[in-house]
Amino acid sequence: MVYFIFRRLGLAALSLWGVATIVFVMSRLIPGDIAGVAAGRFASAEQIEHVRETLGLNKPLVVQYWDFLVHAVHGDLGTSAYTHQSVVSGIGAVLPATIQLVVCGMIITILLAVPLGVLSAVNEGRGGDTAIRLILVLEGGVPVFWLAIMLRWIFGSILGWFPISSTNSLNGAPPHVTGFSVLDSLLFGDFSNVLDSVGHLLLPAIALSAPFIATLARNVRSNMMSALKSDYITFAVSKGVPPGRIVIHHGLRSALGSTLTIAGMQFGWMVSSAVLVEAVFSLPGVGSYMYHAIVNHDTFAVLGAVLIIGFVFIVTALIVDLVQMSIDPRVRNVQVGVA
Amino acid sequence: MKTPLPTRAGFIALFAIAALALTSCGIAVPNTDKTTQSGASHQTIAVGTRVVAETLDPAQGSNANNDFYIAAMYDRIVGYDSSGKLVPSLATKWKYSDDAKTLSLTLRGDAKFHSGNQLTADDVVYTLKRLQTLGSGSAGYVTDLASIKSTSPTEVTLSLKNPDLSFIGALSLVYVVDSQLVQKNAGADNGQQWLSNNDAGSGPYSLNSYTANQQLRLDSFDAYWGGSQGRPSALVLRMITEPSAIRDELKAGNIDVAYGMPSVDVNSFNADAYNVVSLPTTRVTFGMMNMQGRVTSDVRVREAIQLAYDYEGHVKTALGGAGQPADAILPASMDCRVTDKPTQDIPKAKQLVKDAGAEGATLSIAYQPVIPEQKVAGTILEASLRAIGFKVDVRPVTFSQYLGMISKPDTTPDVAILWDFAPYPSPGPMLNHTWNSANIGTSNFARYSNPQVDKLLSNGFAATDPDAACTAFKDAQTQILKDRPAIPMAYPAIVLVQDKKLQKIGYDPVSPTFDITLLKLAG
Repeated sequence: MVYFIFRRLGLAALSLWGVATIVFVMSRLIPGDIAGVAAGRFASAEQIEHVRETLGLNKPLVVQYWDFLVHAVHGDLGTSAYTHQSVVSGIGAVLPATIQLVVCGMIITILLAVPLGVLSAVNEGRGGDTAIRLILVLEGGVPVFWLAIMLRWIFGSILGWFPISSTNSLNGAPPHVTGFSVLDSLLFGDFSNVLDSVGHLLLPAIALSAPFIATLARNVRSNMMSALKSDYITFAVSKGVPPGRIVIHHGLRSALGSTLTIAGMQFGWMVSSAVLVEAVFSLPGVGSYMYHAIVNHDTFAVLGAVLIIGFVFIVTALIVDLVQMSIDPRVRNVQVGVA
Repeated sequence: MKTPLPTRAGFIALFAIAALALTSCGIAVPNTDKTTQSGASHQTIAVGTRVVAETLDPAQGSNANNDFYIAAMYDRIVGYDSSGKLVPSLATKWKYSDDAKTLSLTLRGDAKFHSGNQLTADDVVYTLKRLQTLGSGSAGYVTDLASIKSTSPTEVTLSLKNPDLSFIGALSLVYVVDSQLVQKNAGADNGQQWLSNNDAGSGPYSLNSYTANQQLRLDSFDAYWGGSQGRPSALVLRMITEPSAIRDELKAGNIDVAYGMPSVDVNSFNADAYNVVSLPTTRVTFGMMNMQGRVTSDVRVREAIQLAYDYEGHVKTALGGAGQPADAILPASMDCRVTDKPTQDIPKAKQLVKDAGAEGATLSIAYQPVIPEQKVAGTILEASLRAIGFKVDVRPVTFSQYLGMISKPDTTPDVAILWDFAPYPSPGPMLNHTWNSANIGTSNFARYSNPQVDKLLSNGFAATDPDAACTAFKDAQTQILKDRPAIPMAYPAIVLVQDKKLQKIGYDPVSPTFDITLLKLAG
């Protein structure tokens, strides 16, 4: 098991290196003058050259690449040419907001997708199944950006049930401890702040989860249908095992294997999809950080954001594998056997 | 085979779990913003804006986005009033030597930083030296500074590399930092990291809290030397990147001032409940033509392009009526301008293209699609150029990409739509920045080179008599207008929608957007 974990961590490092290399090369292939932007609009030619030197942009590309890798290994992702802050602290300031949004989005996704998938499977071919599948097709096909705007407009602007933008009300922001507004509110024991933070989170999380609910629910349905047609289910039914137990204990448990894998992958995808939702609801986050970095051709900030998103993706995949191994002996045997 | 499973009870349980989870995520949470806003007798004013701060370091105030926030927390060395006249701020008096190479400042003695430290000449010296060391951002305004020293706690002497009467104006863009506090937190980067989210100022507001890319909360500084008459006790500046969200937040009463809405949204606000304020800017929207371009090097082609452009259409569609056609290469609010209002004349433009033998030639247009005005202007320009017989290659670019393109004549776009700014109400710096041949490849976007203009600009800076300087700068403009290196397209205005609990905000010619410290409560 330990060998498996180290092997996966090694592969993760290799993947991150690959991602960093591709993004570094791509960012340098795009023409532009990063030093010119960083120096400011009224900078003299000498000042632009000074900034170019400070940022190391005057060095050969290979040296820049090597410097970047060496610093990255030591946890230094460079300095943003635009904000003049370290990329690590810049991303660190906005990452909790994204993680919080994605976690809430994942909770909504799982809690809606799994029941819908199960319902659809046990009603296979009936009206309920058709209705659910139709809802999933419609809901999964709606562009996230449009859905986010509609949700904000209807439930925020017209009905006034939810906040329109931001992560907290004007006086609802808790003191900054972890950066997770819900957690910080809880730490300070202010329940009104907790409600306020969560209220600001719900519409963005629903919008973010929409396409993922459809994918996950279809996966659950498919797996459940296979499971419910298995001999052991037929045997359980014939033995008079209560139906609820058959569905939940025997059917769903067996069906959740690949569902867990997909849910894990979705966590990573959600992090990278958050940019659209963050834009509509004016939330700070890695998405908006990366958007500004791309627009400003802020290479180190783009690299840092991509690496962080890649890191989240890889760590999530590792956790999912470990969870799967712990709950499914077949997977454990295969993985450890391979290792 | 259908599985014979009763389903109702199981499904109800499953959905109960889902519903519980949704509830825990806050489905019934009311809009608490509204309640919050009604408190504290409206002393807290919330501003919604698309302007997102990159850093709060005052050294990066040359970035308009940063300046919007920094200006509330820091004091400038000198200021300008709404008519563009230089007025005291931290410096109460200033005097040039006869050769205009030495500038002596007398500072006020009653200014304190938010930390409680007294503001002295040492802070001014530290601030300017820090800018020189960093070499970026606002350092670009003080490139003429040779040395600086304090001669008493309230006196500073600046030595300049060249005679420069306009240099005093540049000090309106220098925000003085608390040297003791910054040095204590300087780290390895001259305090850049620390100042990016901390306050070391003496301005009318002090920083209460800051969440990057989201919100800045400021408290009125009670010990401010300028008093606090009419100012709200707190300002909350919310960075709302989606324009329709700004509109909705204002309509919901969650913000009191909205900036960054398109004109269609601005017009949806009832004049009985809101003030719509239009402020001039120091910005000019240009179509910069490549003077060394294959086709645009011919002055007849450049004149044709000027005549082809739809100036009224620009104001109407690209600006939504918020602005006016440009009539000079300097902003409308500035003195010493030479005006030459261009008008659209398609037949004459076609004839000029024909005379130049440029019919059917392809022209490249570059613009920044993230700026809505420029995006629409790109469409107008494309249509205008096609109307006079050119083929058009449209290239949406980022500003960084554009800076990369203008490093060489053959990669510089034939026409590039961009904003140019006067950093402060003095003609010399803007003219020099944009039209001096020494800046080709960096800020001379048209690759414009005219030794006569260079000399006139140099004379303007060297003149120790303001009238002589003005004459030199006017002569330079006359020559530039004759050479036609650019299409002065428009003067965009800034439009704010304010709740009537506030007075209509005043104009600060140094602020690239609007000066939030001028927000005052009505009555």
